[in-house]
Amino acid sequence: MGDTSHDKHEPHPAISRRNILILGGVALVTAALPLAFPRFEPDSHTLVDALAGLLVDRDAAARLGREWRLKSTGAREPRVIAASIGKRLVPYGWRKDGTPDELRTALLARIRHDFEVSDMVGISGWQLARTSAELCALAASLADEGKHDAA
Amino acid sequence: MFIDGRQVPDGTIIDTDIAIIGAGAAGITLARSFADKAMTVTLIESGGFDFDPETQALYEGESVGVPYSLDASRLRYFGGSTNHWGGWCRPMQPIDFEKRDWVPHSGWPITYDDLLPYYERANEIAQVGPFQYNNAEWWSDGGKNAPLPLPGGEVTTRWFEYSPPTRFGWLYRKPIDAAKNITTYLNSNVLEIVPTADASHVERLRVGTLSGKRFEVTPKLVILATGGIENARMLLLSNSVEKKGLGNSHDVVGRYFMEHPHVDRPAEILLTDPSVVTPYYKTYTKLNGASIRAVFMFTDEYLRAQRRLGTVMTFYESKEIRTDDNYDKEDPVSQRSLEPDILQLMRSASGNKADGPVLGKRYGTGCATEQAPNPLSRITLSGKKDALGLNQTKIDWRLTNADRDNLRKNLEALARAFGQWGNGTVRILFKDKDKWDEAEGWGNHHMGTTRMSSDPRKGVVDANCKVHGIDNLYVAGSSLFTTSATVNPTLTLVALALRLSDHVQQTFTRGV
Ligand SMILES: Cc1cc2nc3c(=O)[nH]c(=O)nc-3n(C[C@H](O)[C@H](O)[C@H](O)COP(=O)(O)OP(=O)(O)OC[C@H]3O[C@@H](n4cnc5c(N)ncnc54)[C@H](O)[C@@H]3O)c2cc1C
Repeated sequence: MGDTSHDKHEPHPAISRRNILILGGVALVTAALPLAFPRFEPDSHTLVDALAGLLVDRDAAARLGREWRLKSTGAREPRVIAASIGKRLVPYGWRKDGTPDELRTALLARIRHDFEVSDMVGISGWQLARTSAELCALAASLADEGKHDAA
Repeated sequence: MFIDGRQVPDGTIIDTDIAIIGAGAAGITLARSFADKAMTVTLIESGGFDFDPETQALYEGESVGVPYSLDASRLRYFGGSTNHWGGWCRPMQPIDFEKRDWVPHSGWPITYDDLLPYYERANEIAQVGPFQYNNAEWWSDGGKNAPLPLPGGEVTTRWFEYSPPTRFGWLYRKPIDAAKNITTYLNSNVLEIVPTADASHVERLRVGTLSGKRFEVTPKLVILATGGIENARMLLLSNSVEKKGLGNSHDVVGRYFMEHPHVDRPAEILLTDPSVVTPYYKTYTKLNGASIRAVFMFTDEYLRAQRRLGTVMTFYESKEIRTDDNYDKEDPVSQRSLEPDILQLMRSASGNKADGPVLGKRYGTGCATEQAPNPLSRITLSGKKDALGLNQTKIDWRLTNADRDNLRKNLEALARAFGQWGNGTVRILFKDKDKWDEAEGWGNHHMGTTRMSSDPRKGVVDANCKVHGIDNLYVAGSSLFTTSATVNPTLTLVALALRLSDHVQQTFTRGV
């Protein structure tokens, strides 16, 4: 498992990731602590996997995600991040029951759009589309949970 | 004919139709254009045919603003600074001449179209290839050498053409020598441009040599062509009648000094597919009758919409990025170990997994950027004297936060363009500081100190390069530039000199 330390901007510091894992599974935690996390789309779990599946090197993305997290106050929970990415992809043709190729096409289109409207994130100077940075944050969160082994 | 000023008897008075002060790119262009015409021309040059440290020392001075080297950035002998120029040539863009309401003090009294025919002739004088600077088709060679298809309409590829570089003092020495109507005085420094008592007309030039000789030239018409800094200094030094200096009744002479701040590696670019990069981006390339290099520039639409000033960006190959690179000893600041990660991320988005360990390539960039005209950025006279007893130059080069911010915003536009394209990621290395009191570099481009404006309160010369209020004094060189644009100045100043030559010849035909 990777680094689980939370910075001071963690929205709910009282609930550590360790506690969450002790409760035995993401679904249970969600049910038991409805106020602790934002509500998920029912398919956000599959979206986590589908998005992670697009990464040709998850470790690489996780490293970038950690770099970004050093500066940002964004979400840490994979499904929250995935849901946020999903929302960004809807206008670009992503559907919950879509294929990985459709997901990638939507992702690519969204990344282009981010650049077009200058929605960029600087990671050590590299200018990434916000959606790409969120994808990296997702990879970092997954790696931290040890949920997805390094590819 | 060439005459060494040191051999001229003291007190000699030389009558001439036209006196040109300074034999650099501008002065030599003008002299050549008058060759064998029905007028006598006296070309007065401070140096000889070779570098001489004592003469060069006349260029020394004080720098009190952004540190600047006054003597290393120009050469004081026949041919002037073209004895060591790099030969980068490109005309300005039409927008550069316009009044841009977001650029204070912008707006030339002439347009690009006024200069275009002279640009084409300037190309020949500087021995540059065909005048095809913005013509992607010309350089694409039927698609073989296509420029990068950067989307977004903010960044575009344009081309510089190279002069060999023409050493004006070598190449044009013979025709100037052979011209029956031109006499060149070498080792002869104009000490003062002396006007009539009402300062409306130049009466004579006081000339001196380092060996102590003093003589005078009495011209009908004078063209000051001593370079972008020295032109202002000469006017300020010409103060025996007008105490503030010639042409300076509105205190504009010497103000608005502009350079092209150069920044080395303001950004880097990672590309997944280096094969799409045509060689003309990376280095000098011979193609279709010219030696060229492609650069990234910012489109007029972008500059207008975002209210920006321009930047020129070069692009060169730096390093192949591989999965098996060893980053153990890497500098934590440079964070090179993230480069493979960035390339993998780009590949993830496009679904383009690398077959082997090579992920892509890193490219470095360089840039020259436009600074806004600033009256506080200026040339004045120092209290220190040179070997001729003349006040040295004091330069106070200013760069503002807005100039810095402009460059940063342009780098972000570059990042947007590569990001939208999808094959590149830009890393901005240019520091986000709130001050620009130290320039990383500059272009040896001295502009703005006798700027053109139809309003005497805002400029030293009018649209014909004539000093406001003085009927027979003209200026040539990049000191005329109202705004600096982003491109190297010599092609433009040669074009302006050719245009001035036409004007002067018409003036003579009408009778001065
Ligand atoms: C290292 C370097 C690289 C450059 N590279 C490029 C490039 O790639 N592209 C580009 O466009 N530009 C380049 N430039 C700038 C270019 O050299 C100048 O724009 C150009 O030479 C200016 O021409 P000029 O005639 O106005 O002045 P100069 O060429 O400087 O000539 C002025 C002349 O006046 C003479 N003079 C000065 N004072 C007096 C006096 N009191 N009496 C008599 N004579 C006097 C000097 O001796 C000199 O010969 C470069 C400059 C340097 C230093």
